[in-house]
Amino acid sequence: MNRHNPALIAALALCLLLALFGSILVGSAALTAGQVAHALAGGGDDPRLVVIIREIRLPRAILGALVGASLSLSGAVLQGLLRNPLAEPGLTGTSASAGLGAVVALYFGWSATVPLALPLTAMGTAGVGTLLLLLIAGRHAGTLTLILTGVALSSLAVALTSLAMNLSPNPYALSEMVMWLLGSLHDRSFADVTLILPFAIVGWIILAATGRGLDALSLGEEAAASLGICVDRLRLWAVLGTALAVGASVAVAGSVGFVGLVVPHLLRPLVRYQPSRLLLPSAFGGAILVTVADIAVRLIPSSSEIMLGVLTSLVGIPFFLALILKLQWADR
Amino acid sequence: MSILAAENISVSLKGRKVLTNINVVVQVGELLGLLGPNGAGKTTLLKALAGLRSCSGRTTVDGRDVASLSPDERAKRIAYLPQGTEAHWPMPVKTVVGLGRLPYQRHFAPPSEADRAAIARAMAEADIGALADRRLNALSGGELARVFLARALAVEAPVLLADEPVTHLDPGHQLAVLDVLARRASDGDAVVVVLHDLGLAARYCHRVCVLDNGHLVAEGTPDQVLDDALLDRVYGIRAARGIHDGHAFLLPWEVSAR
Repeated sequence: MNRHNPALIAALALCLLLALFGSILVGSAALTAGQVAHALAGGGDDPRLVVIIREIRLPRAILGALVGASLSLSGAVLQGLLRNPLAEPGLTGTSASAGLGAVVALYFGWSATVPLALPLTAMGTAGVGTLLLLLIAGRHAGTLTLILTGVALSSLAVALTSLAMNLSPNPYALSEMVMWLLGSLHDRSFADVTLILPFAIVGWIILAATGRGLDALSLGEEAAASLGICVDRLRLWAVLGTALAVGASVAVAGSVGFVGLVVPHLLRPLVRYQPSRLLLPSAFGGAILVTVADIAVRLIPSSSEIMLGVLTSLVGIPFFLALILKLQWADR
Repeated sequence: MSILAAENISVSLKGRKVLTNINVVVQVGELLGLLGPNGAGKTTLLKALAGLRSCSGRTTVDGRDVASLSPDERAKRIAYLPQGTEAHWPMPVKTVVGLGRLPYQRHFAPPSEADRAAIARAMAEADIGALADRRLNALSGGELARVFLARALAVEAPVLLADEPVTHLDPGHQLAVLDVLARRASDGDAVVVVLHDLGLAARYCHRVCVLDNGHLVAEGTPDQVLDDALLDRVYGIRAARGIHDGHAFLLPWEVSAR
């Protein structure tokens, strides 16, 4: 059932390339498009510019795309699984759980000794959080149950995160945790890319493989089962995939909310509402959105750089409220 | 020739016995009605027959144990149309009907020629060709019922199980849906349909099974089974009867005096 619209995919891929190029172009050091293209192609006369482009701006741009694709793809899969347009890693508590894991790794200083400790604990807690959501909200979760369970789990994760900060050994560790929780791609390197890329890719593959089951699930669990879909296994794969993808994202970028809500919702009409066909465009769309948002935080004039997670939340929450209102009206 | 058989099916839910030692055999080319009052266990039996609910006893399709079949193999042999018209996204009609081909499709594979042909046949049978590109949220209840019926037909399984496919439909749509099921049966499929309307059951079904309180209390042709004594005992009603075009018909008329 995966007949993708080639024009849509091509258009999204082109937008992503433009966004990535823009992300490399924009920053405190003024560069020209020619200099960027030249340095990316392997040339460049000024070693200082080459370092800025290849080792500072390029990994930042790539991470933005990775994080955006992961969050948006996870959102699309969670929405298909729960058959609810309001599902999103941030709202289901997955992101907050991952944040808790990351803060724990920072708190105990694990991440200082083993670089993999932070992404691993973030993915582990993201998995536990999503499993708890499915256990508590249950199979036939309505919107209200789902959101309330997500709120409760998020609050729990945030409370435990706050506890860690509360007991934080020194002010430096505290500010590290806070800055990191606000969500940012500032000062990242290729080491961060290689750290999370394998996990993100495995997560994407798992999530992409749920498409067939998500299509069947749109007819309800019994019809899906009668079509040969093992619904329990599908649910488990979705949990594992989102835990990997969201955990990896949160591990490098902190919490960047609402990407997984906004992007699939905007793209759904373009794929004629079919869950499996929504996955690939959502990954591209999320990558574009986060890359562009990361350009915006560098361009918006402010005393200190606005954090990426703050911006996506400020844009995403009104969108979320509008979506709730729309669902309310549809129910009447 | 039998194609679907349930031997000694029992199901317990929360300590209560929902089905007790049910034996049903469905023949090729047969339209079998599953009747009984609310809560008699009709849906549970249909799910057990479809291999969608764990039960004690054994269900076989084409001589093979349903429990031993892989989910895809089972899905290709038994099509199941659940009660109601649950659909969570306003997809186009054609896409929804196409979901019936999922058991034949691998991950990421586009639909084959055979899939396309089956989808077209199912849509023609259910008479929804004109709706192909309409979205689900733009359809009436009757149209939706025919779309979901077409989804089940598109599986092209030798066995079709339908749970109350006509319950919320107007008379025209009720007859249209049952006509489609009857045609499938005469084409050689085995069709089992849960019905509440005794008149339609008498009119369409070759054979009926009557469930009451989890027990199979009667089995046979509608004329044999749906007599005054059974209607009074199982449903607590009396029926008006008549003959139309040489066929006996019945209409539930009044609640029996107790």
